[in-house]
Amino acid sequence: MNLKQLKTELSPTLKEVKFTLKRVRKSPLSILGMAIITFYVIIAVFAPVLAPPVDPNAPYAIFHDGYGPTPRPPGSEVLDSWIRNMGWTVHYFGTAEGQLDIYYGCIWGTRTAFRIGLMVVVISLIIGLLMGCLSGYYGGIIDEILMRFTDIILAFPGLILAMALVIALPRVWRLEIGFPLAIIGIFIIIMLIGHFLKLRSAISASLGILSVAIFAVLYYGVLGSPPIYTMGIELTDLDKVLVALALVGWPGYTRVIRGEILRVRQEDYVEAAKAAGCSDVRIILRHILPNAMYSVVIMASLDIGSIVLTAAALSFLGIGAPLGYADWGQMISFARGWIWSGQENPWQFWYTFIIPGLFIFTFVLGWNLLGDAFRDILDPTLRRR
Amino acid sequence: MGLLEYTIRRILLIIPTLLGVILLIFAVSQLFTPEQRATLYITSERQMRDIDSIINQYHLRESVFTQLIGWLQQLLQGNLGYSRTGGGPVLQVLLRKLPATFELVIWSIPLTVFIGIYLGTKSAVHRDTSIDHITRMISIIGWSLPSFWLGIMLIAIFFQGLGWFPPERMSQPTFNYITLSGNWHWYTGLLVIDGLLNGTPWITIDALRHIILPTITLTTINIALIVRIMRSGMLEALGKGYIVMAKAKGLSNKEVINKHARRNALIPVMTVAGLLTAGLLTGVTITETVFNIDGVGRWAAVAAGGGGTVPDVPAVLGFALFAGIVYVVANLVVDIMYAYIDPRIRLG
Amino acid sequence: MTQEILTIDDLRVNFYTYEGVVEALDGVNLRLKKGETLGVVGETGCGKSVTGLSTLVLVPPPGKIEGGRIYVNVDGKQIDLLKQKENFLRRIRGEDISMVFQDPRSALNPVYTAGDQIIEVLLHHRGRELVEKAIERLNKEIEGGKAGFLKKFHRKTLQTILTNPRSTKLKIIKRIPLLRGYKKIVKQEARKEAIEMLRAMRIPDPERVVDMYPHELSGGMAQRVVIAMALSCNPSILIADEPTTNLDVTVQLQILLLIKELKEKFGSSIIYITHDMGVVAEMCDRVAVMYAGNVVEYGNVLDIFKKPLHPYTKALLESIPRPGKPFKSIEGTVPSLINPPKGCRFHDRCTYAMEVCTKIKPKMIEVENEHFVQCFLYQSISGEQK
Repeated sequence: MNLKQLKTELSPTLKEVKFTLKRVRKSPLSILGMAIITFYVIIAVFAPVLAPPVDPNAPYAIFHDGYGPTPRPPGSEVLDSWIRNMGWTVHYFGTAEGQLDIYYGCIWGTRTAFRIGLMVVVISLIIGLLMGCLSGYYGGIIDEILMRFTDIILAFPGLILAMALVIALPRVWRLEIGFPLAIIGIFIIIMLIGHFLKLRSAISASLGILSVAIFAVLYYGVLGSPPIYTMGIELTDLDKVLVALALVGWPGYTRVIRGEILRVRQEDYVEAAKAAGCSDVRIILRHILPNAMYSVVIMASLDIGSIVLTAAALSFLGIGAPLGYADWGQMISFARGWIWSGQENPWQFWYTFIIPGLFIFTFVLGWNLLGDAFRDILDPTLRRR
Repeated sequence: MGLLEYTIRRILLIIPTLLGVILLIFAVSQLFTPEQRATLYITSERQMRDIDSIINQYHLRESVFTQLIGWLQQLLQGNLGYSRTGGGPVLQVLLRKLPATFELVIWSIPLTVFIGIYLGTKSAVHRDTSIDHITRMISIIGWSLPSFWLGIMLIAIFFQGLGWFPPERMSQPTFNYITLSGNWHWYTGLLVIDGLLNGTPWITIDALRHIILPTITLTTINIALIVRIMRSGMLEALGKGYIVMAKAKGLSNKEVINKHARRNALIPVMTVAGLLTAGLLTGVTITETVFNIDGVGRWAAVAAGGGGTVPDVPAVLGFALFAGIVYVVANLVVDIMYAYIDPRIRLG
Repeated sequence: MTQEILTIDDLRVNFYTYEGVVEALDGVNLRLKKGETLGVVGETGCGKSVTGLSTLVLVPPPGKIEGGRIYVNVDGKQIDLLKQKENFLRRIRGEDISMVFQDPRSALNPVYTAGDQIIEVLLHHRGRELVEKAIERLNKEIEGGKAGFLKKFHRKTLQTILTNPRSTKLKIIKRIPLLRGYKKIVKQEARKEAIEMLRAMRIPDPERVVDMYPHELSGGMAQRVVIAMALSCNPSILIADEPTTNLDVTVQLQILLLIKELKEKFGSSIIYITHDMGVVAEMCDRVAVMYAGNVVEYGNVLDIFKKPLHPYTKALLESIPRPGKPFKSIEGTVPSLINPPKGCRFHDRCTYAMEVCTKIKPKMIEVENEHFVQCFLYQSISGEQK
């Protein structure tokens, strides 16, 4: 046996990865998904080259060639001389209402889409993982409370909740984060001390809550609630959408992680690891998380798709990015009036509507294909065929 | 334990969750300014000018606890506030707009579920062949379509282009008949059925013509959920020991799939279907907006301030409460159905 | 000489896994005589279960039967099962050849009652008989004046099923809910039959058990239900694949006695697959010893125990723990069947291994009366007895 064979013989993880990759290559759906996503990544990365911004300071503002209300078809010439000087001669995809260049909007909209999708998923993931680990690991009453909380969030229709949050969140968010931060900090410190002293988690939790309560009483009663630390975050409308979607999206991950932790915890090999003297943290990191990661990855990839769809829906309803921002959903909302309104030929201005829609559709399709294909491949019960 | 015991236990468990929902809504309402919260109780222009007295009357600047108690009191009386966009008390507006949404859901759920089950079974049985790939592709495509995009396109093709299926819930003549003729009686709240019950079959046909496009929109998008879960359920069931046993008994492939595997695979599908129903009841916002149907979803969208208008706070809160309750009840129903179908759960 | 009702010749089965091709069965030869219990012994992984499944032509993917012949006596004729169409095989399964599995709980569908699953087999194979019984019962009721129009109609329907099962009238009736009551009547007959079967299995209170779900049954009860299913259509061949391995020892004894009793009552021939030599001694008339996909020795139970010929059989018997004797195990491990060793598959663990054993595979020859062995200790390279 040469070295290469030896390496693959000895490393089960490598073998698994190779097997997964082989199955990925064989699945036409996942190949298509990856191709689509790669395509969009290229567009996003090369946006400044593919569509050089007319105003370098505000690349996300779609330039408008005049102010006329009627959209012009693909191939129309750029009329404004200033814009011509920047290198644009032709509207490749035509213009939408207000003479916004569709091509520009779609290209830069890719970046917006990635930004929204990835950021929301990352934030939801972090929150979700944290909650899920706490819930699954400690169990008991912490688990009960967190699960109820998660259920309640899941009970709300995401779109409406996001809308309400976008409206409710003020432009500048004055966070009195001093007090909540202090509470969380105290709680965590007590928990850590308890863990260090090998107290039962229920006991440390009760002590933690007790200390927090004492602190709260002192703060409000004795000290008269002085502001500890105030932070003002300025939120644009788009940021508000991001935050709202993240706040609505984390319960899914919590459920998945918690489920995995509970499932793996009762497996025999965890018992064996404990018997061999592994610490809890090590068990979580080495045994539970790798198994749980598969489900989380699948979920994240499907989530990106649905987040982009929800954000587009919000834009369509007028909530989200400011007017003229490079955002696919917003572009379709302009087009709405031009497809209906009882004209003879609803398809006269098809480009205002079909093209941005195609971008949204194919982008989401790519992620969904990938997520679905991965789900099929990584499902361990279905693997060995 | 028997089914009855289980049901009672589950119902009791709902109460803390419902309480949680109510509390959460209250917490969200605290994010609004007192002025915004006062709009709950304003029913006319005149009151708008005298907003301070309303604030004082309902203690809206006082501590959180006083407000909570006050709000709960109002809640128990059925007073969810006055909806500006709905033009009436929130509860009434909700009940008035509910049938339109309900009718939409009633048509699309069975369609989604049945087609989904069929495709999911086919997909699982012919795993990794082209049938499988095509079915999954179709359902994923449906899931990836933006609902507003699909809706608008369908309208453009089938209404503006071909003139077959109009948007909205009913045509002008139907509307006139219902509101003006004095002969119309709402039996079920569902246009299609009530058209027959009232002896006016042309209304039923009209309703069907209107409802077909939004139903197709919803079905296309949601089919993927059912297909996916049916497929994985079937694949899991087909790998079990009783399948080999069934074959060893001499049963045909079709019998094995339909009788043995499917029954087991349907269990998780029931859960998803139940949750989907709940999701649809509260989530058809975009479809209702695009098709201009006067249902609960569109009301919520307008209330939440679509397009930059001032938000109708009482409506948003009221709708949120409605959504929470629907979801909790749906979970309950699903759990009970689950216990009914799977004897292992029921008989412990 | 009692005739053979099952003959397996040179059966080859491969499993196509991602790790490679597993040559699970490498030319298996077996003969089952009418009325006898044939034991199949071997370690885990030697291919006994696969052999059992192959007899029903039910090898699950990624497995595939790659060669050989399985002859069964059906209606007086010798038929090669491996050449038959699926339709024919479905008739055979459950009716002429039945199987009992190792894990009774997983063999039963959790969402159907025990009774439902027995009734299913009965309706499938003995449908005709049950319809006749139903008609008889209906006749009695109608003559006794206790039946209305509907029952008379059902009787007509049932008679049509017997005489003209493909009639269009039947097809229409099947679709009308009210007229489908005839199915219930037949099912009632089947249910009676099922309860009798459970009673024959020595299950106490069969009327209650018939409506119980599998998860409510203990392991022993569940296994009895599975046996009831298997024997309900009176198959001539019963394949029992380690039916007691998953059960408690006390229950094990009960089931063994039950199987013995049922064999007398129903007159079936049994292939008993196990890894327990004690069970073999108790239950079987003849036994086949398997190793790594081959039958290495087979003959009468007494002959095998008293005079084991194959080195593996000898080692197996010696390794049975006995009080007072030191532990003895067989050196080495079962070879991987992905790249099986050439020649005799036992050669690297065999104390008598010769040069020829590593190169050529010995043939199965009859060394003495009805005692076969596959080993070069007893034959020359050309296959002649030494």
